[in-house]
Amino acid sequence: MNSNVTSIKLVLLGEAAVGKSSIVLRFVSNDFAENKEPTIGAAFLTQRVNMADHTIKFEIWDTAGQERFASLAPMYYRNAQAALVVYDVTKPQSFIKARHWVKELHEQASKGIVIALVGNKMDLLESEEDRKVAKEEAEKLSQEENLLFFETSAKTGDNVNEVFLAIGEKIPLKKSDGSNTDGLRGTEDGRIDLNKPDDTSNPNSCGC
Amino acid sequence: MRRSPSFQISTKNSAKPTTSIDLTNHLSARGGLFYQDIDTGTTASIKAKNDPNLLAATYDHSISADTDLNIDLQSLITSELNSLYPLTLNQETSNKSANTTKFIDERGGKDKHFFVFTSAGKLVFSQWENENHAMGLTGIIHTVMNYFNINDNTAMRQFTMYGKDGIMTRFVFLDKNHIKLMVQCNNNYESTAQLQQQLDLVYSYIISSVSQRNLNKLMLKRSNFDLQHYLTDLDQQLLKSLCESLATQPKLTWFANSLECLPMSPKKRNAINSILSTTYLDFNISNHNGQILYTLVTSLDMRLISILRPSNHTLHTMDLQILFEVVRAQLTDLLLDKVLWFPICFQKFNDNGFLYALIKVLPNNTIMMVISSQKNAFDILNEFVRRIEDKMIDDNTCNNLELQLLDWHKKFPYINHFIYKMKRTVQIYTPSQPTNEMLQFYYHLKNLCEDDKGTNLNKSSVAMLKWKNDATPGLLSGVYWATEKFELYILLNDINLSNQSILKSAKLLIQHIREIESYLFISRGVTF
Repeated sequence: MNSNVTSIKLVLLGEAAVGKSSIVLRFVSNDFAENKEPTIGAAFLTQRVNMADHTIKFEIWDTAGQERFASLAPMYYRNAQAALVVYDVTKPQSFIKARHWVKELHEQASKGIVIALVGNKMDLLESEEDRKVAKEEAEKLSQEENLLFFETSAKTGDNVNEVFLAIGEKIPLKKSDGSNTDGLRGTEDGRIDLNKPDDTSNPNSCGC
Repeated sequence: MRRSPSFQISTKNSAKPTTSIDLTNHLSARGGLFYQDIDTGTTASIKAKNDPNLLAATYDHSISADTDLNIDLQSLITSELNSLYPLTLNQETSNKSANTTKFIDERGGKDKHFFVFTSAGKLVFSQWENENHAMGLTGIIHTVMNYFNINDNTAMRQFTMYGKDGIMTRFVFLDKNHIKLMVQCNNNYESTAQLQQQLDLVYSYIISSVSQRNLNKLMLKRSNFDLQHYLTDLDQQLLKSLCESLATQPKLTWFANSLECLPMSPKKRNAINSILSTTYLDFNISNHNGQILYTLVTSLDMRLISILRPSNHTLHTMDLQILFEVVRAQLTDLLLDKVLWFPICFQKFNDNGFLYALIKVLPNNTIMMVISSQKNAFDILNEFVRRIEDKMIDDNTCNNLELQLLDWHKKFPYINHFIYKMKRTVQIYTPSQPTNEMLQFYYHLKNLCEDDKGTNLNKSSVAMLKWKNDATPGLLSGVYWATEKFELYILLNDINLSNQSILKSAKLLIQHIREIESYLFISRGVTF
């Protein structure tokens, strides 16, 4: 039994249909579903991973890529320690969207957020001609913006676990004593302690 | 013809709908403006009938000038529709041209097709695969609808066409703010009111993702706003599957305009109720009141188990039906232990804003749906659900919730199938999901007792019918019994029963259902 559990809040962002949910499905269930229904709103799930002498509990927000849900995105990345910004290597438009997300994260998300840029659907590249987003371009963006960078295939499983492991390694281990710096009132098992005094969640209360 | 009515019955409703608008009469009544002779506008339109796009353009043009209005609208529409989409084709004629075969393929085994377009006539959604054809049709329909609106300030509800072989096609309309909806219907068992209600469901579905306020904003800014491309792939996919099931696999809850409950022993239902209410009270003590608006517990097939709600608010049935459709579409994800969190606009509750729904499947095969008005409430709601989950896992009574009811077949040997609706709580009970054919019989019975607006003709009424059924050997009879308290639909195995004994069976059934009411229905839910 491993008692050192670190919770990592992680959010996936990116254009619709780039494979965010498929990456999560591969990571969590080692599975793949063709023609998956688009995600509505966002899906929350957790996954524990054992690394060396401690356990990381990923609390994953798999967000919908649809524009109409974009206004909800800040809620998901606000307290996140890590983000996967996903694009489709065969869709240049999705890479432009990825740039936007990286910019927004740097401006709005918490300071130390670890961002991984992920080019998905590598399985679609039968020849280099199918590729529409150059690896060099993505690498350049990653260096400029200090991102982790991976090219993956959720379909074959290529490189998917590596993304999450790299994030787990890059995030400094925290003592899980509730002193998380991200403002979440987390407890040891990652739950929210509702009995803890809280000065932010109820701005309307009159305090008397 | 594929879809000839499988039962023979002579009622005033099934032969000819009473609400059809005779366009010819309507137009000629306007006197001076309308001449019988054919002018250039009509000729142009008829020439163009093989090209729907051209036609829409021609027609728009001709309506723009008053003097060109003298067109026989009905013959125009009939000829265009027949060329676009031959309704009257049978097997022989369908082989004649490649075009017509294509159109037949487009029907895809459905006797209903749904269309949605904006008040500017732009196509938003159609069930025809060929979008150009759909655009041509909606162009014409849009013009006709506007004509009635402008000239008479009446909303066109429907018109009916008869093909050469007597097959009836109805077009039923619903004119909502900025959006017009139409269903083309080849069956004769659904009434105009029922079809309009289905259109309303489709409309609510669009509003559930856009919200009326946003829609107003978009359309007022630019009346020719392209809503089709504003809706996401997800919206289109959900719309498509909703219309598909309206056309091919209508749900009983839609037919009865109500919700279905899971039959449970009162002990189990109470156990879940009290888990909900104690957990909710804990939360209120912790100063998180106001975050949780509604909590629903359902089975995996969306039958209600329990409701927790504010005492002064109820949720509209149609809003819940839409929520259930959205959840149904995401069930595969939910079964992978995902928790969903998404905005949804409940049109009947408040069409201006969004509520936020948390959906989670629990290990005892129930679905938790918690609705909040606050978009940042996820963490709180998630904790709320987690506490409920823990309590349900600890409590053995919260497993195997469904109660298999005693074999009512033995008690009521003549009764083939029935639906009982408790009007006060808008809940239904049926021992098994009716087949499409059974639903058709039920529609038939119901229509006998309703006027064309869908309201019951009498406070209480009984209808009895006997059908000669082509599809299956033997005969069927049915009873519909509506009072202020309940609606009962019964199909009987045997046609040779006397009316008295049929009614007696029905009475006994009602008595029996009343006795086990607390097993079948949620009478109040938990309120706070």
